Amino acid sequence: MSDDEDDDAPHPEAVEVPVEDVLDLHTFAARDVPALVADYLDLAALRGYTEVRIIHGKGAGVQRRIVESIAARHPAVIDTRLAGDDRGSWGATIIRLGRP
Amino acid sequence: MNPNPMNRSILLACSLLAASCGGGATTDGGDLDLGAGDLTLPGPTCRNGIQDVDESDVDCGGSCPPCVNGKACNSGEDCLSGFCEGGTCQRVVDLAWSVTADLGTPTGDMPMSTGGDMADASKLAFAAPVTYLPNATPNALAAADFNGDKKLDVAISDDSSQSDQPGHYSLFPGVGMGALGKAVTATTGVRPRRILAGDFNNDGRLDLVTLDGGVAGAGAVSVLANSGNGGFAANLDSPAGMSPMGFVAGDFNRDGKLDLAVSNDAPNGVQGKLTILLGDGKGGFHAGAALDAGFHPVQVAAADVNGDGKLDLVAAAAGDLPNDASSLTLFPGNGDGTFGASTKLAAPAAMTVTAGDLNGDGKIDLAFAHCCPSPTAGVLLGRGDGTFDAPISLSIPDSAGSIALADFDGDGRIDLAFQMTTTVAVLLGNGDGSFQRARSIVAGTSLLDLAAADMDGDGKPDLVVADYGSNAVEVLRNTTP
Repeated sequence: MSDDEDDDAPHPEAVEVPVEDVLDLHTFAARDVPALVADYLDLAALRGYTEVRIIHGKGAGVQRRIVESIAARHPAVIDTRLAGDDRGSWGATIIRLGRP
Repeated sequence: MNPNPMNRSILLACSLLAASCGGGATTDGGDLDLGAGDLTLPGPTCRNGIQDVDESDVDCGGSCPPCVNGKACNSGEDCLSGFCEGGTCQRVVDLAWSVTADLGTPTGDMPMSTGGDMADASKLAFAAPVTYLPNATPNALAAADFNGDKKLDVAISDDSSQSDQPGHYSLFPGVGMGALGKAVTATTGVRPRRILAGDFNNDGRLDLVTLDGGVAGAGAVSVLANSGNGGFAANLDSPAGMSPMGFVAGDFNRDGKLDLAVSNDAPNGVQGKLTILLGDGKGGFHAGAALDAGFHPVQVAAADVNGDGKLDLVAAAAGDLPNDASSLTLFPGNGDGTFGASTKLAAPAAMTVTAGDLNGDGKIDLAFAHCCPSPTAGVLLGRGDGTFDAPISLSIPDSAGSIALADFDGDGRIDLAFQMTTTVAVLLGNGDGSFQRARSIVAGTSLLDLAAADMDGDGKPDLVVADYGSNAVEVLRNTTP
C-alpha cells in the first residue's frame, strides 16, 4: 500500500447515501448478486435496519440460494426466512439483522 | 474452507515446483519456507518410488501430481483425467457434448444477426465438463501460465469466507492435456469477488489481483505478486472505493505500469463511479479520477475504441428504473490516466460488456448483454473513431454474466461465448460482425464467470467456468474437429 494512502483513498468526499429496506435483484445478473447482497447487508446493518427484504424472484431458486449463502456468512445476519404471501412469498427472503 | 489467519502457511502441490517433486537441490527433504509468500512446500516425496504422505498411488495423487489412468485414487482430484471410479483413475469419455440450437426470442428493435451457415456450426463440439473441487466457492477466475511451465493454470477468487474475515484465492496448476492439479489456497483481501492476471510489479511474471468487497463495503484491490517459484507473495492491498463490482487492467497513463479501473456500485438514486487506480509498478496503486458511471455500474472494459493510441473505458451499468435505464458509457482516455467527457452509447441495455475486433476490420467492437426483463445481447461494430454502427441484436437463451471472445471452431473468425446460469452459449462468428444462432453447452449449476483458454495446448480455445453453485471449476475441452 502506498505511504500516503489516506490522501489517496478513493472518494474521500463520500457522504452518507440513502439505503432502502428492500433490495430488488431482478435487474442484476447472477454474476453480480453475491457482491450486491453482501454490500447491501453491510449498509443496511450500518443504517440500523433490523429487518430487510431481498427480492430474488421465484424461478429455479438459483438466486435465492445465493442470497441465503451470503446471508449465512454475514456477521450482522441473525436469521433468514422466506417472505410471507403478502411480501413476495418464496420470491423474496426476509433477513433479520443485528449489530455486526 | 477454513477462515485461516492472514499469515497461515499453505501447502503447494509439488507439480507447481519441479524441485520439490524431482529431488531438486533446494528442498533438502524438508519443508521450505519461502518467506514473503508464506508458502510451505512438501518434501521430495513425489518421486521416491513409494506411496507415502497423502499420495493415492505411488508418487501421484494427493498433493503430488495427479495419477494417470489405472492408478489408485480417492477422488477425481487425484486423477489426471479428473475421474475416479471404483478407486481407480478412469479415462474421460471424450464425447461430443450435446450442443443444441437455442433459437430464443428476438427482442428490442435492433436488427437481428442473420443466423449464418448452420452446417458449419454443427462441427462445434465440447467434451463433457471435467469438474475440479477447490474446497472453495469460486465467484471469478483467471486462466494463465503463472508458473512458466507452458501449461495454463487457473486461479479463482473464493466467496466462502465469513464476510469480515480475510478471503481466499486458489490456484489450480495445469498439468497437461487440459487437466488441473490439486488446488492450493492462500489468503487475500476481505471478500474477494473478481480476479485478474497481470504483471503489476514489472518483474516479467504474471501476478494476480483480487477485487475485494472489504469490510463494511470499503473495497480494495489485493495484488498477489508471483514469487517465481509457482507461488505468490502475501497480498498487498490498496483502497478501491465503496462497493466495487468489476475491474479491468490497462496502462491508462502510458507509464509502463499496469493500472486498474474499478466500477463502484451505489444504492438506488446515487451515481456509481469508475475509480481509476494508477499503478506504482511495485504492486501498489494511487487513486486517480473517480468518474460518474451511471446507476449501478457493474462491469468495465478497456480498449482503444477511438484509435488514438490511448486506452478508453466502457462501463456497463444496470440502471435505476424508472429514472435511468441500463446503459453503456464510453470514457475516452487522455493517455495520462484521466478521461474525457463520457458518451452514452446506443446500446439498448447492457450490464456486461467486452471489447475486441469482432469483424476483423482492425477496429474495436463491443459485445454486450443484459438480463431483464428478458435476456438480450448484441454487438456494436466500431468505426474506429469512438462511434459505432447501429447495434445488432443477438438472441441468447438466458441471462448472461461474462462474455468471452475466441475462435472456437478454428475458421479464423471471432466467436462469442456467453456465461449463463447453467450453460455457456456459443455464437459462431460469420466474420462480418454477425453471428450464428446460440448453441447451449451444459456447464454447471450456478455459473458466475467464464474464460476461454487453450487448456490442453491443442490450439483450440477451451472453456473454463466458475461454478458457484457446485463449489467447482469446470473445464470443457474443445473437441471441434
